[in-house]
Amino acid sequence: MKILTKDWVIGESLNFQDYLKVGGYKALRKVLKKMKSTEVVAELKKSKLQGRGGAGFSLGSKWEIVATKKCDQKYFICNLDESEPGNFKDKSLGENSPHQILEGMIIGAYAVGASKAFLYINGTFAMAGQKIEQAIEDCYQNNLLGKNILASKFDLELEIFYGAGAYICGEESALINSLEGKRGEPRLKPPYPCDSGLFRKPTVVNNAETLANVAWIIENGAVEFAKIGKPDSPGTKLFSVDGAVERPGLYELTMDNTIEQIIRTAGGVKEGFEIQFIQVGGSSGRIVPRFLLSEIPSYSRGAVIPIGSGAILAVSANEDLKKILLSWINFFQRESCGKCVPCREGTFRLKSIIERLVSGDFDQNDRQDLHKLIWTLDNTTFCPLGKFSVVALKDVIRYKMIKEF
Amino acid sequence: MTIQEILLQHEPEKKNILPAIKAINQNLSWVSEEAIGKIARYFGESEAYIFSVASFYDEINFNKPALLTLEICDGANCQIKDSDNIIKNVETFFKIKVDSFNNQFVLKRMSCVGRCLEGPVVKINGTIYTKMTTDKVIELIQNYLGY
Ligand SMILES: Cc1cc2nc3c(=O)[nH]c(=O)nc-3n(C[C@H](O)[C@H](O)[C@H](O)COP(=O)(O)O)c2cc1C
Ligand code: SF4
Ligand code: FES
Repeated sequence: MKILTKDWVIGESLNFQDYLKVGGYKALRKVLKKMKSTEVVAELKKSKLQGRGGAGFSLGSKWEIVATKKCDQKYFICNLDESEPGNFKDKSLGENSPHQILEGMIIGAYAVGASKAFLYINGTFAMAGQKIEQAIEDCYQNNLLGKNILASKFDLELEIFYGAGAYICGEESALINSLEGKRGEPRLKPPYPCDSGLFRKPTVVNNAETLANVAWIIENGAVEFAKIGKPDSPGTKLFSVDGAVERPGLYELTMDNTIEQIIRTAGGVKEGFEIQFIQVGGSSGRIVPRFLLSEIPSYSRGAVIPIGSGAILAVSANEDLKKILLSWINFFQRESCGKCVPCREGTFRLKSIIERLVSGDFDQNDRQDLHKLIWTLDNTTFCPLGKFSVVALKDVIRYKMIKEF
Repeated sequence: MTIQEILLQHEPEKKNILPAIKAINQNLSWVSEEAIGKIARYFGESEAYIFSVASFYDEINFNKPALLTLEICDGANCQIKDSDNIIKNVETFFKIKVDSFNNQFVLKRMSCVGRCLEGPVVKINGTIYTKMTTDKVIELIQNYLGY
């Protein structure tokens, strides 16, 4: 069962004509001709579609909050900043099917009453950016953006905005600051973007993959969507699978697959290799040891393995875990935005401890500091990045994977 | 294009500050003190403000560009494809340290750029190269430096 990639042709991008041929913009037509904005919101709420950017917040509930705000100006933002290491799903969506994202954005903007939309894209995604720019132009030329879209009363301006290399700008409030021409630091929450977002106006921020589901739900109905996957985590998910598997790649699977099944879809464990562990969700994702491979990663509350962004990295027994630890902490130390002390200093200290671990100089003091630092990063940082930096490390300790700890 | 010409392509609204900084960085390969001053005047902000925004992002350069900037992805996916060894080998071969700067050659680690399947990934003067090995990287560098 595929929703997002069903019309993809490997190595080719669905341009405007291709997208129309596979039924593109039918959902938007239906929405503008036959549905009130409240009906669109209700339908998506009923579908139980959850955000694919990591946290899994209900898209319908988010739209409802913004839709019910009385305000002269609201904004709609698509988050395509994707920079969690090991992820390439939003980038692939942008390259292969840019209109699918745009259609979701236009429907979303109509549903919440936004007249201005932005697509914030990772600055290194040159190819995806080019495809999206072309798609936006095609929309303007075909009355799918601009004034009186499809002869309705709905107007929408949509712009692409390129990031400049900062992981934290994927966090919605940092993204908003970046769009406003400020340093891309996160804001204190509350207020949430739904209440006070871009230029302090009510703003929806949704991940690109989340939005790519919207047209399908409008066309096929929320009931059909809710039947796919798990009842409390419905739909399909894009998995960026890499590492010790036979066929690394991007896979779309329903959300009731175990990690084992996901690995099998990617051709199974690479011949001659043995799995040490699987990491689910990129560098900020949980570690799945072999005895948990039959778990289903999902957005369900209390899931043993949260699905996060859906990166799956199969690490073989040949790999030196200490070096992978260093790769994780190097990333977080470099990407810490520097706004709060526990994260700015903590990731730095953690990095030097892990460096000593790699070089064999790890001692008792490091061990004590390590545990203190983990606690601090886990509990006292301003935004979730600090917490993210120790998710995998905590699992490494939990599963006693490094004897020095 | 001159700094002023690039600036004039952007309406002086706050949301165009980063696009303007990026455009200058791309066209001139770096953002000089002079550029910061001009951007500040154009957008009606202080130089400190413009610098604080520009310096936030990895992409923006504040040093006259070295002849060669080599960035090697150290994301976990590239790491298990041996990017770490490439870094070490480049360090030894060119007698340079990661994150050290000289005006000839800058070597940096970079974060994942989503090309993991084609890893290890490196960037040389802004251009991405995939499926790298130590030998290929050294050859590329030598080509760039005109050896
Ligand atoms: C440090 C950090 C990085 C994030 N990076 C991204 C990202 O690259 N892409 C994304 O869609 N969401 C990212 N998020 C989540 C966003 O803040 C936000 O929850 C999401 O864009 C909402 O969209 P969704 O509900 O459709 O998932 C990040 C969050 C944090 C804390
Ligand atoms: S936790 Fe890190 S990324 Fe988040 S605000 Fe603090 S310094 Fe910035
Ligand atoms: S980890 Fe190197 S490109 Fe993704």
